[in-house]
Amino acid sequence: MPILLDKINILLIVIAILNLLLGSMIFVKGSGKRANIIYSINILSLLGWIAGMFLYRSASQETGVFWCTVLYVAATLIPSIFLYFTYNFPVQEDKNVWKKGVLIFILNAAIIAATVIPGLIIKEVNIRPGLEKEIIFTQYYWFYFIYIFLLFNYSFYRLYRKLLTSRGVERQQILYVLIGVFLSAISAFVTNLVLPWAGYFVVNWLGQVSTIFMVIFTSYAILMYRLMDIRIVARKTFIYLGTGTFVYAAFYLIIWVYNKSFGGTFTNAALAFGLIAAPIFVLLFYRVDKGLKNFANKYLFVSLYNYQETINKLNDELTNHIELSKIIDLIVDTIKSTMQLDRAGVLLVNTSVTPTHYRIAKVIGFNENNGISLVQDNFLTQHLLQTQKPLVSDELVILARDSRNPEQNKSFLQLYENMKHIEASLCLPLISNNALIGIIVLGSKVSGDAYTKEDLEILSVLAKQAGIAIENAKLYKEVQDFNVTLKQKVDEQTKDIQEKALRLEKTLKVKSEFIYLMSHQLRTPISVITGMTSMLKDGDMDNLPAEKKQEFYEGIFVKSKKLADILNDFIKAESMDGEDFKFAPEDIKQSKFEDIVKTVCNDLKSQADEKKITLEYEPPTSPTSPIMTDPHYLEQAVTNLVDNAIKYTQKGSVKAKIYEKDGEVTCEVSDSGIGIPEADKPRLFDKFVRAKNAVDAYAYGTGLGLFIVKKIVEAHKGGKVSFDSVQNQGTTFRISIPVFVK
Amino acid sequence: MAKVFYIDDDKEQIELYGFAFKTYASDLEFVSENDPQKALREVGDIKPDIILLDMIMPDMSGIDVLTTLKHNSIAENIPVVVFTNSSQHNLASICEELGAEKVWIKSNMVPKEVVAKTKEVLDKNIA
Repeated sequence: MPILLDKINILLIVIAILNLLLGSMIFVKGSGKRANIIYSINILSLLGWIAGMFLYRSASQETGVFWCTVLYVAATLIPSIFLYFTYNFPVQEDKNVWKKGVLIFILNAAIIAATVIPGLIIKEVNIRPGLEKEIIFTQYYWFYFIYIFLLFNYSFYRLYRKLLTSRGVERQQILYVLIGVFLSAISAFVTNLVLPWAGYFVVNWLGQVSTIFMVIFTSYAILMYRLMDIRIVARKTFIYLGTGTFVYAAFYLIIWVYNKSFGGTFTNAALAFGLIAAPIFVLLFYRVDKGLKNFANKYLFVSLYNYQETINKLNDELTNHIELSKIIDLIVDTIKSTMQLDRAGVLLVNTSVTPTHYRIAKVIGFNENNGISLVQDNFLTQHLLQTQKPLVSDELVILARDSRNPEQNKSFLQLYENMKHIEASLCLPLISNNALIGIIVLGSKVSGDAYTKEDLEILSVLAKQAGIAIENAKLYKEVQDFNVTLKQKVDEQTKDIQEKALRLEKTLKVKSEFIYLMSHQLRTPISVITGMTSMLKDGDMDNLPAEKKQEFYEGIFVKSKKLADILNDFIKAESMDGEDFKFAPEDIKQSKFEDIVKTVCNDLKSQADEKKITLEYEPPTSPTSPIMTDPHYLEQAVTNLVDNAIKYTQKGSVKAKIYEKDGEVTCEVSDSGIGIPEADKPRLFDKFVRAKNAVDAYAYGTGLGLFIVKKIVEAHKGGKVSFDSVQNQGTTFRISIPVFVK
Repeated sequence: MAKVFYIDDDKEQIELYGFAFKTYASDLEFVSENDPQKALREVGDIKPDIILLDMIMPDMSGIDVLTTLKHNSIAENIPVVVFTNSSQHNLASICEELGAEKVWIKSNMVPKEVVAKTKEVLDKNIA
């Protein structure tokens, strides 16, 4: 039988190839799912039907009826298989679905038998030159007609019902399958069943061609909505097909031009034209390739956003920021605006508590009261970590259905309910170093569309970038926090060191003051003693009268005593140094302060007389109450005050008086002396400190007298020492000791 | 006869060094004053050839005395030797800046040396 290769048959070959491609793809990539296998078998039946048409159209008068029978038998398989498909798509309805299959195919077998029996439905096939063949049907043709009509419509009805109850991706999948098959079926029904019945055969091949609707819609649903769970690289396929088509078309165009214009391929003119055509072709090829790629990027991936651009943009922006809050903002905003979502948020892991929590870092649109604010480590987080893939809430139902483990099934359904409760449609894992560091939670698209395959792809890539960026930001924050703590530590230690340095500086100052004072204080008596003894030793004083010599001896003695006093002061001060100078308990006695002051004044009277100043003791109006003290030490303190008063008063008087007031006995020593300069007042009681004018007035001071006074007074519980002074007018010191209460 | 003017508030030391000069330098006249202000008033009358000046004195410090002397047309050319037990930091350089001839520490010298060194300064200045 010669094969007819007219334009219609060539078109049928193209259609067959497209069906074959789709069918084999579904079969190969369909991961052995029942619905996929059935769908690919259905496409196989379509191929049979297309092949039947091809051969029927090539058939001669003798083989006409045979191929016509084949054609009509093949056509019955299509609605049968499709109806069976509806029992298995999107999921197998029940375990006994095969029984329905058996029923359908018994019915199908009956109609096949009717078709095959010669003359029962197809009476004869007439060849009409230049026209499509004519088929003469019997009056039973309507049986055949009804069968096809009912099965298809019942299938559509079933799918339509499923469409109404489904959601999200599944709904889109059903919709596209329904539309594709419906369009193909309705046109085939008209051109291949109704019109032939009316004796009109001109387009009775168009039904086969209209399967292209099914091919297109099914492919689109696979591409966009993961129909039958198939993931294909549509962009590449499109480009290969596109460039292939271009080359094919260009090739035939050139052949046609050669034949038409130059009368042959190898004429001189044709060869010359080739020199021009070749570079044009090359240029065009690159253009077309680029154009196809642009087209594929734009339209084969989701049209609302440019995949690569979005990723690049976010990547650029992410690398510009290191602050966690900024990065979270960027991620949430980018995803929400690119995908046109109603809600978006990021939860971040908090491993410092048990069990591990995921806390809100940022959410837009979610109602936090619904429980999104805190997610504990649970089935969701484990699932996300395990799959490291986006989790669409609609798919949870499918996952639950597919799951064989009842516990897992329950968990999936529970998770579905949970996501529904917080109004989340999608969860994206943020993975870093194989740990789940956070979850991106997304709501639905504002448009109500489901997430497409490309959406999920871009979201996966974004989530990967986000995971890295967040991890970096967290590390940066840790480093920053560490820096802050480190700085605090350094600051603390610096402060400590500064304080120590300050103390050391003070100590060094005291030390140098001590050396300055002491050296002078020691040098003076030493210079006198050595001066005098050197002259005595050399015999230079031998001729002096006895009383003069006696004076020198006296001088040596006084200066030696002065040296001893200085040393005693120094040792005393040293023993009192530190915070807790206390009297020896056995030395503390109940004493009368006035007795002590009186004694001191008596002792120092001669010293005052020598300087021609008056030393006056003013007794209290009535006897004072007793105090508890170490009388020896308190006498030392009063002595120091009166002695100072005499030393620093050139003329006038020194007065010591005693009084009792407010439960304290106070000794007041006032003088009309040089006074204390303001600048020296604050440090007056410090060790080795002498007022500037005191140094000039009296060369032998050690700067220890007032220090000792203060230490002695403070050794009394509640003891106080204070002074008032005006330079060049005089000074008043007061020692107050609390009255002893029995 | 060259005149030595000793200014010091400590009478014991005046006694000591007065005796030393009498003993070791009968060719020198020793004049002393224990009140620095009085000493400044007297210096014009005394017209000493050298002044030995103590530093730590009541009412007026040796530094003030030295400064006043060096700003007085009568006294400015009289060599002043600072004669002290002060251990003030930089004392020597401060005094030399102010015009002191020498700075001697009392406890480092016995009276005999003081007299001998005073003679040296006198000899140098008269020559």
